[in-house]
Amino acid sequence: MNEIYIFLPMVQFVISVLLVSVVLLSAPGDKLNRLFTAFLIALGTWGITIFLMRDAFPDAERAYTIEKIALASIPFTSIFFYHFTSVFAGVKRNKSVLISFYMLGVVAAALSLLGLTASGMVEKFYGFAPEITTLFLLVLLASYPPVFLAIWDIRKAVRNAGTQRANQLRLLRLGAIVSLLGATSDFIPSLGLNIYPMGVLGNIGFALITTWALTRYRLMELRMVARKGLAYTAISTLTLGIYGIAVGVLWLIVPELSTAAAVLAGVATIFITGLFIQPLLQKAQTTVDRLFFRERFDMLNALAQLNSDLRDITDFDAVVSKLGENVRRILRTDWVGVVLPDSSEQAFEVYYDTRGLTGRLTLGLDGLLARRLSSADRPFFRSDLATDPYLQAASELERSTINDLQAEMVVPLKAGGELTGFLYMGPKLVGGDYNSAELDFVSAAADQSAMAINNARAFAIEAKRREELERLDSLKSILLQTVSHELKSPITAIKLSTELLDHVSNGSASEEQRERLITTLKYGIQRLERLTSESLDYAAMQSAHLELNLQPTRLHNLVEDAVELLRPSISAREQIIDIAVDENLHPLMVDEQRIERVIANLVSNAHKYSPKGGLIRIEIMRDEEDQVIRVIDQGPGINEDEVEAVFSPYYRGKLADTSPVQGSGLGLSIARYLTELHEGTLTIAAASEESGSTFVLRLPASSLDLLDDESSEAPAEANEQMNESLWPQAITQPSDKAFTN
Amino acid sequence: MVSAAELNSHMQVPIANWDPDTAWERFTGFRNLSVDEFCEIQEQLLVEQIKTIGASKMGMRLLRMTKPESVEDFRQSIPITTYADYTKHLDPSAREDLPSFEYMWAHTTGAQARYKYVPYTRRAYTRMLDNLMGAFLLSTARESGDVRIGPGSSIMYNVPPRPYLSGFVAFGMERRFGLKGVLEPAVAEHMEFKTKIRTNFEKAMGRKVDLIISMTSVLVSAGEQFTESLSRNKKKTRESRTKVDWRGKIRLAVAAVKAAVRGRKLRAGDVWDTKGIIGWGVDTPVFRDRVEGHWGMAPREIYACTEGGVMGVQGRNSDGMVFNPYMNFVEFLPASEGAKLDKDRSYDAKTHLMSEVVPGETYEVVISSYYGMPFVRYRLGHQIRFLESTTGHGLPEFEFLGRSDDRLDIAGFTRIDEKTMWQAVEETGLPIGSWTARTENRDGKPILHLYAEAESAITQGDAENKIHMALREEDDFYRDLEDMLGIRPLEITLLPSGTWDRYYDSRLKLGLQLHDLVPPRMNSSESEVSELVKLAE
Repeated sequence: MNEIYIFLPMVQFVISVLLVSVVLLSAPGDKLNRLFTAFLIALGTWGITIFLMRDAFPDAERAYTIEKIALASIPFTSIFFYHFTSVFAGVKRNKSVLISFYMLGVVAAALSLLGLTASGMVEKFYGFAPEITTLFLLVLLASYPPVFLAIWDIRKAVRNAGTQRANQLRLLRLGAIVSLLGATSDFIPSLGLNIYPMGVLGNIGFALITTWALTRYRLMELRMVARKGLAYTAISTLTLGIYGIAVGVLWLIVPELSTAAAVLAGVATIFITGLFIQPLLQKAQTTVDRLFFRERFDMLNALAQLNSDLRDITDFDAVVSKLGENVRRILRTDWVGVVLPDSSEQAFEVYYDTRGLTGRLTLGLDGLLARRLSSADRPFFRSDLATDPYLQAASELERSTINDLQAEMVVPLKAGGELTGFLYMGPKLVGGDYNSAELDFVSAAADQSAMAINNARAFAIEAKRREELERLDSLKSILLQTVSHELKSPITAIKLSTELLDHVSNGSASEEQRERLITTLKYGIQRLERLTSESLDYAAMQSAHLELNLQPTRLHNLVEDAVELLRPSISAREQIIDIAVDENLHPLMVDEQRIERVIANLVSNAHKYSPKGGLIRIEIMRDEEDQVIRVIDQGPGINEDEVEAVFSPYYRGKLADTSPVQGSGLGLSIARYLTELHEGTLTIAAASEESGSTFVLRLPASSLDLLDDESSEAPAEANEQMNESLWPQAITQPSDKAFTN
Repeated sequence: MVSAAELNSHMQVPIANWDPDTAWERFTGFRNLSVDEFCEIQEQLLVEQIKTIGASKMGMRLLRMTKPESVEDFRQSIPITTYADYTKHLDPSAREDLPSFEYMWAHTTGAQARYKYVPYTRRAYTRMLDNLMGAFLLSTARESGDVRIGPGSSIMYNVPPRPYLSGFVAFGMERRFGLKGVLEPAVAEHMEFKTKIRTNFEKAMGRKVDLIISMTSVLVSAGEQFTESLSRNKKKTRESRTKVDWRGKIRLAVAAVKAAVRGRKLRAGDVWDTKGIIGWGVDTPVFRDRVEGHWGMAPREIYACTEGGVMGVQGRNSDGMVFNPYMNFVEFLPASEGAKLDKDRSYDAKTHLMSEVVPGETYEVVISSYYGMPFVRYRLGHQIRFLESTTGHGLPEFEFLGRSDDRLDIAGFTRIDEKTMWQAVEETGLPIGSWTARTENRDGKPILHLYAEAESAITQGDAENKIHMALREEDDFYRDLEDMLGIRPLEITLLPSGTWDRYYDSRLKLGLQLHDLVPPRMNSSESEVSELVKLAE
């Protein structure tokens, strides 16, 4: 008889026993595991009895005795499987069905053991087959319906299951079908059709497929079993090897050594060697551990390293990048970023990103996301924005921020229970979801780093504050120097003029001389007045928060007002003002007085620096959502290296001393400050000594532009786009000033 | 005026990414929020809404040109509104006053049968569908987390058609979640209402129905008709039997066996083996037991209306409903404050938030829409009561009592709501079918006049006596009316069975809309009751 045919059932038995140990080692108390173990035991019993039956050939009597046990075990394989499946698939069924199957199984098993389901063994071309009786139908009745029902339950459960679970269930179903077909081929020869019985092969396939399906998502437990086994095997081999070598060596030295003495000598050798090889054994164990728990090992190492690194670093950038690098390396993510509150403590800002992203986020510290990060200790995932009952209400702005950052996972950074920022990660390089070990790691790394980040940040803020104080101190010195210098000139002029006036009051001066002296006096007083006023304004701006009185205003009205104020002196110098206005501009929400002052300053500068008869061009236009005023003069221009310096307080340019134009050097500083209060910018576009200067004032559009009745055409298109976007106003607005003032 | 086609046009919503593993948490998880979390969500969405509508003319007017930044600012600076404040803005043909969104217009019937137009933005509509999915999941689950419906599930909608909000849900749920109507939504909405219901049940004989969403009275009547048809003689049964194909016959046979095994009579629930039932209407709690008797399961309630969408749902084991935080900002106007506001529209009424409500107290619901919809501190006119005890979830549970303007005011002494009337009629056990109630004044004496359809022989005196006693039990003030003033206001006019059907048919012939086909239950007009009485003769 074919040896493979005899030994195949043994394979079934061995696989079943191995799987029982794996399943029980992973979670012995689990109800599912217990049920699955019962099923495997029945399968193993089936395997070993079939092996013994085949091995008994040609002893038909012995084979028949064993076959009776095999027939008794078959229904229980099906019933245990059905029981297990109904629990695993979460199918609620009337308990009476299950009880009926068990009762039927007991009856069928009892009849089989009594020899009532098979009357003996008949010889076939491959070996023995049972000679079945009519009562064998009971065995079939107790075996087939439970498997059919289990397959039906799985089918239903697959419909409502997630992807992973559905895959598990499908594999279970496949295993059941394979086994069912195999078992059927076992019974057919008894009905007279000579085919090879494939039941055992089917069962082996069933056991393997089913177990793979169940353990696929519990790899850690399987690995633990393998790890333990490998470590014990390595240590046992080593120990036995040493023992063998010791005995062999002793035997070579003293060939007449008695067995007892050899054992004693061997034990002593093992004991002594054991002491010496202890470190070696530990190393072996560690190597095995590292092999199996490399991820966790690396994580713990990284945490220890991070802890050590962060202890001594006070450099904020270094702390943040250390955290980011470590997390990225261990989790093998595409990218990692660190977000902290910005200097205003109103919104978050990206301080570090492995892709190089930085900048302020439109994510407030008082939004739902920040609140969730504050109250939770665990990370949340981008997918939670759709499913978490709290995060579902996150604003579109918050959602788009998380989407823009492409943050798959967000981890709170909390120091002393307070939220100090968050860490975000992209998808894993190798794909798949973050597992619980990775979540533990990243949470621990975040906890560990939050305090260090906080301290380093406090240190950096303190350093910046010190720098600012130094800057202010230096500014104060410049101010004192400038003010004393600037004050001296008009005071000297006033003093001299007064003395001369006193002198000429005796009648020695002409009317013309007196008028000139009075003019000089007036001019000196004006200069003093302006200097004092602008210095006070500047000081006020530096020390206090200015409130804006926003109202819808058309910029070209402000330009016209500013030009009108300067009209007499412009006319006196025969200069030409050319104003170009885009007629489709909407009113802007601005503080009228303050923006008029900015425009007046720009026009006044252009007037002062342009030559007599020169052209001053003012353009008012729209640039995307912003409105822009360009003031172009024909003055001497500004050197490239001065384009930023001219906005510094009291800066009057390199040619100040030789220039006939007088000023405090505060006008442009004040103008830029007022512009920035409106979230706008004031810059110099083209600066060269030949072509004059072009000052560019850019003010952002407010959402309330759309209120204007006359502006129907342009916004109509924008509105169409808004229909597709959920929160266009809120997102695209650079400022919410319209709502907060 | 906007065309009917435009008014009926259905807005496409995004298809939901359906995952049964997360669906429970996603759509029903809000019930486990704490009151504080509920309030935080409400505030966040309100602040967003203020930014959204603040830029529109209507928004600026309703917000009084202010930009509240917090809930407290909002409640202090914005007055409570009614539909009259929106009439000129909510015109589907002149929508320039609204925030710039694409709208789908639903409407409902307000006082004096005037339409209330309600523009739904895509986001609000999507949110409404998601909230409804929460109700679907809760009503079909056997235990927490048990997701039993999903794409491909079959739903029977026995609700009014578009442009009522209920009519949009069949379209929306199919598009967003792949839930199939027993009848194709586009086909069903062109059917006359009664035909639609009958066809729905006929079609459902040959297929599974996972969930029924229905006006509760329809469920009772369908269950009764089913039982009745089984008990009729063979000939009559053949005449009245609905069309049943071979699959339906098999289903009937299986149901009969099932009922026999369980030792009871065959009932509708045995045939249409549904996983859940959602009742639509104020009578849902009143009919709970009768629906359970016919269908084998109690209907779950939802709190929904055209202006507010789906705002509240009832859990599997809960007596009351809980508010959904995502649909509207909700405030609760105590009855005393509501009364002062009714007298003086400039009165600065104090509302309660979810964190301030008192169990056992009755409130009127005030909503502020989210997602660009128009209502700001809008009185829905709905009375609700928070329950004394809840089932352990984080949020307080409530029951819906009825519309404020659907109350029967008896000499200013008591105001009986629709639910109380329902309960009184039901508790007597009298064979009363349809009914309508109104207050009348005869010789200076207040009369609560009930026009009721007697389904079998009852005497007027008996009916008056029993319903009067039931009303005394249900309403303390009604009892005081008799005990203290000696007034017994109830008067009943019994109308023969079939009167309401004749009323329905006569109105249908006139081509009237669904809401005009039956008289209102509460405060029906003189002409409506006269018509009923005339048809009864």
